[in-house]
Amino acid sequence: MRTWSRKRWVAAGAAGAVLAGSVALQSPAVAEPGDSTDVQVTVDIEEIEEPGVLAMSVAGDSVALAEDGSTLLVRQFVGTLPTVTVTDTRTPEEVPDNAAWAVLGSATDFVGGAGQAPISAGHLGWKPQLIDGGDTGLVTEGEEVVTVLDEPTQPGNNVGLVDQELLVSTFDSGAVAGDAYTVDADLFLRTPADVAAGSYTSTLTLSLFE
Amino acid sequence: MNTSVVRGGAPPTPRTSRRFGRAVAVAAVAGLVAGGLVGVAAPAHAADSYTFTNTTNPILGDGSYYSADPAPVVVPAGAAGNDSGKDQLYIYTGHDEAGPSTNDFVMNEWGAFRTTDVEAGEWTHYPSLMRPEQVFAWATSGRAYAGQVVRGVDGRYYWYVPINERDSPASDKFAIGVAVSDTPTGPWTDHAGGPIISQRVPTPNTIHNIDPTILIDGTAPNQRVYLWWGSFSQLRMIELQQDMKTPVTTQRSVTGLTGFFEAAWAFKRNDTYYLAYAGNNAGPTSQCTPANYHACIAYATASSPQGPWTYRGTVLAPVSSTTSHPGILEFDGSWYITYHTADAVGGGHFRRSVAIDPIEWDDTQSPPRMKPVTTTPVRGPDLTPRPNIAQAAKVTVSNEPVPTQYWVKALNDEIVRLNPLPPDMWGTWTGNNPPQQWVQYTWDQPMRISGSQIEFWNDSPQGSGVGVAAPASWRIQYWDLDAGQWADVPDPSGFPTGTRGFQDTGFDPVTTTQVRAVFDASTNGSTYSAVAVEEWKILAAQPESAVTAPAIKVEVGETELPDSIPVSFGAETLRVPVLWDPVRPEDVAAPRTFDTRGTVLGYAAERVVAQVTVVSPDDTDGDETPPALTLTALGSAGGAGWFRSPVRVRVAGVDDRGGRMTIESRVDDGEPVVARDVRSVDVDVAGDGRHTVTATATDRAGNTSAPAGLAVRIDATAPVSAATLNADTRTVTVTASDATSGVAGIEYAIGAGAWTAYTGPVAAPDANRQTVAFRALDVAGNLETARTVTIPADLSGPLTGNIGPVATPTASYTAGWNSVTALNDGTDPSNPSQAQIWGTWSGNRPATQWVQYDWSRPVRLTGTELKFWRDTNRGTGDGVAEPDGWVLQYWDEAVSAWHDVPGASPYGTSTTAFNTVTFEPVVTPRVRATVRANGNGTTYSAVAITEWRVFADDPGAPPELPVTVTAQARCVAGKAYVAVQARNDHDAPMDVALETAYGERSFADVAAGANAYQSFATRATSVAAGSATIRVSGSIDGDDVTTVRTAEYPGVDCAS
Repeated sequence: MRTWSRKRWVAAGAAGAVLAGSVALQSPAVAEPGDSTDVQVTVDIEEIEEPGVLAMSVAGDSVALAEDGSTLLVRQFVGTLPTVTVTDTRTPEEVPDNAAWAVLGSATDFVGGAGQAPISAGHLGWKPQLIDGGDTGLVTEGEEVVTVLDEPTQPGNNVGLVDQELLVSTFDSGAVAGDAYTVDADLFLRTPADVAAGSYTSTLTLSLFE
Repeated sequence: MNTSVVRGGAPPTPRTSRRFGRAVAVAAVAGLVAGGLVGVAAPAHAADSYTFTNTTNPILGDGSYYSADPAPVVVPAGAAGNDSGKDQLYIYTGHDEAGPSTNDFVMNEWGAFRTTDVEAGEWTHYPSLMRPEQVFAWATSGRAYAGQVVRGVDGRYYWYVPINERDSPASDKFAIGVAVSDTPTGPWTDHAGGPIISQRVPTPNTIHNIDPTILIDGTAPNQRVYLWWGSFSQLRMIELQQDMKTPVTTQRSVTGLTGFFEAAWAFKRNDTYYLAYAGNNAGPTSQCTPANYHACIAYATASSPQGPWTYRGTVLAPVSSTTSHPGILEFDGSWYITYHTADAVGGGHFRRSVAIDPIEWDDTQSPPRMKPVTTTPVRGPDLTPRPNIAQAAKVTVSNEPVPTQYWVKALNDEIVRLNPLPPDMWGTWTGNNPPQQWVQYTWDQPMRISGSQIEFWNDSPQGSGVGVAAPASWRIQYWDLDAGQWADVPDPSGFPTGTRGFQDTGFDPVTTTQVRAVFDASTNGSTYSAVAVEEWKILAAQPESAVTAPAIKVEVGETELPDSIPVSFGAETLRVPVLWDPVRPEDVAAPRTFDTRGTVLGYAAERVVAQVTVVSPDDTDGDETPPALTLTALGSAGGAGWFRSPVRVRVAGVDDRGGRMTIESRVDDGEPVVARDVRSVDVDVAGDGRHTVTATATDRAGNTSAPAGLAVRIDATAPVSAATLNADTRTVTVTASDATSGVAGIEYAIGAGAWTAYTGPVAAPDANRQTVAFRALDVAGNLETARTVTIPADLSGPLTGNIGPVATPTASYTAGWNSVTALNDGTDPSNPSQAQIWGTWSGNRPATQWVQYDWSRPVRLTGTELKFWRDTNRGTGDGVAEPDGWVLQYWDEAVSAWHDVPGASPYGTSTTAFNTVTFEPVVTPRVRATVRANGNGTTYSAVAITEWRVFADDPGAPPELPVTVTAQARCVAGKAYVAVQARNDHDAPMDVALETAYGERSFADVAAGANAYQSFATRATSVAAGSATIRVSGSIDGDDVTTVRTAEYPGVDCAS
């Protein structure tokens, strides 16, 4: 297992339904295997070269969360993760035996723009949505992860995106090589109703492993 | 005295300790009847002696008296009873009185042969010197087995003999008694008044106390007396006082005697102690004996009577009787071995006769060794003209290595016994017999043949599928030299399968180097009987006109005549082997002409006469013509120019002057071999692959021929096939490989069906359990011995009635001669053979035994019935008796435990009718019948069952959706995930739900051929092994079906 590609950007949420995009990168980013930067960057776009490569791209680098569905007890801010594309131009023969790729994501705490207390990453959950998984059924989006304010919907999944959580994966890289797969995710930040108003920013990091 | 077969009086009664025990036991009854006809025992005394002269073995070979178990002793000149002035050699023996068809030792008395000169062969025979019941008041009559006479410390004669103790409660009543006499010929009196060795005295033992041998060591007055005895691979030793009967030590086991079976003989030469004995360590690589019913005489040495003993190999190869027995001593300055054989007129395994031959010593070794004994008379080939040519063939068989009780040599030894034991036949019996066996004869040259005579042996009827039975059918094939393949002999008169006497087959003459008999084993539909053949003769076609031998020219001093002559069969002329009377050197000492006679292989009309002209070799003037060379390959011809055996290349030269030559030959790049004064040489070529033999011949004038070469291709190794069973599709896939000539094809047969060419996976024809036999053939024509694979029964449908036959039977214990598969073989013969029942007699016999049936799925069961088998009364604690009771238990899957079936009707224990039990239905994949053995308070009898039925009333397993499921534990970024995959193998969409301890996921309408997959996060660095549950729902034939499967995954630690 090694990290093939890592992409990072900011998801910003703000109490009071203020949207703030800190970084905007309009064009899709493609990262090469081995690239392991950990800062908010723009990356060069290169043509995919032979031999085939496994790569990940994201159709955007920021998301603003908007309040929707708040209750008396919990305020909820939602958005959609930009479409993530995993492209594998390798032939099945180029794929190592027993290989299986996976994209994981984790978020940092939401930091207040005006000195408010931060909102921990455990309050940010997601529900991945497979857009194009091919016909094999061997590419599947990860399970929903809910927040620390929720009851678990799968065993132990009310942890938020504190640690790396599964966005999408395949059972067998070799069986799905030579195609591209897309996925996005519903993002939801759930805070106590008494959360301090203001603008908050978090960074969500996606990593492609095989 | 010795044997591997039943010794009639030796309890416990073996229950077919080998395949042939049953037949022997039957014969023993006949033997007792015959023994009864002998009538009143005549008094034994020396006055019955008579004198005869015979210088060849057996010592007394006319069949008037059969003697066994020789024990020689020297009675010095002047010793009591010897006033002849010369040392006398006495050979004490037992007396074999078995009838010609009795397979048991009928021995009622001991006698002796006496001579003063072994070479002169003047013998005095004392037919009856002692009978056990006349000297030993505590003896039964009979069983006068091997003893030994020694001159005691006091100069009297002491005769140690096995005695069957009349009133002993021991399980084995044999004991050793000692008689004493002032003369070598009696009268004898009981020296100890009772046994000196038995299972009770001087200390208890559990062995077969027979076959004593005595050694008196040391010089007066300090002689020490040692006694060894024992049989059935147990040898004991004890020291006695000078009174020849009182123990000095306790008995101890003797070890170090490789292959020891019985018949020990102790002696001393110079400072070395020797123990010779009958060994029965058998097998194709054994230096003792190829067949374990035979015995060799092996020996060991030691520097002290107490040992330790070091094995020194074989001194006497197996003899013509199954048993062998040594007596070795020095007499008149020469060493001799006395032994016994079946070589007398009318002799047999139980009608043996004593022989004597010199022992030669190899004193260059330390300690000195005995050289292997050459038994006399040396037997030459049978020169009687006869059509049989089998004796000249090399034999190969399908079941190499042949089970060690059989002897492949018996097939063409031209000996057919009335009462054969296993080494008198070739056989194939093992615990699992294949559907086909074959025997092949190969001659070194083409022969013209037209008939066959075969003698089958059996101990089971045809159709039983057990034991040894005549084949269901058989045929003779010959190697078609032109077509290069096997062909059925043309227009056969028939292939009878009787087991009494020779079965005759005639066919149109064919010319071939190879012939084989292919036996289709008799079967009951599921198992196969073995095949056994006592003798198989192949009869040569007879030429239309008398055979005349061509004139033969030899050089002065040349005593070898051509080993074949031309024989014409119509337009075809073959060179057929001939055995000439030996040519003596004086016959060819000078140029002359004389006639000699020879026996032509397979030519039955007469011996042929050849005129031999002896020429001078010195006439070389003006000879400038080199010899002409012919190279002929002799071996087992195969297909496509391959040989299927090592090949002998006959390099034959002919010189224009008629003289002998020098022939130089070599194989491949090997060293040249030069032979002088020859007309031909035989070059052996071995090893799979391609070889070339090259040769030149040089005549006496020095003219050398051009090199002649012959290419030889050998593939003597059968191909190897392997079968793979697909339990889901119930098909068998067979693959084969061959290293040298390549695979020509694969054949298969289902059950007792015909052999069919294999073209692809073989499917079971119906839902029953199927046995599929398969075998491969290589290009050279090597046919692999058929193997089998079993396709289990398909239990998916409704089940009713007896489902025992589709179960897998197991048992707590099964005696070696019984069969656990007899439980559910579907047959209940009224008089079952031992192979047709399940039983537990042998080893320890516990209070309970069980038998179990397993099915591949839970089945709804409603009843059972079984029938017990017995051969012993209740209360004996021995044998096989009707049990005290039994109970049927089922495996309760819910709690993983055995429970008695509920609501059972009474459990009967009949051995003559089925004991039927009904119970409240249970659903279970396995049941057990646990049997409580009957006992006598101390020990338990064994139990046996002929057939066990279990009745089902089951609606059948619901149809299942085909789905392939996989679960794996994986590490991604240091955390463990459980990845679960399910592939839809159905022909329509299905809904799939994946369930793990870490989450569940459902997929609707997974397309045919597509998958459902999810990796479930554990959010931990490791995960223990576990399983995932996969539920699939779909439609089969319009019915909604849900199938639940589980997939196991191993644990994983992502931190390491």
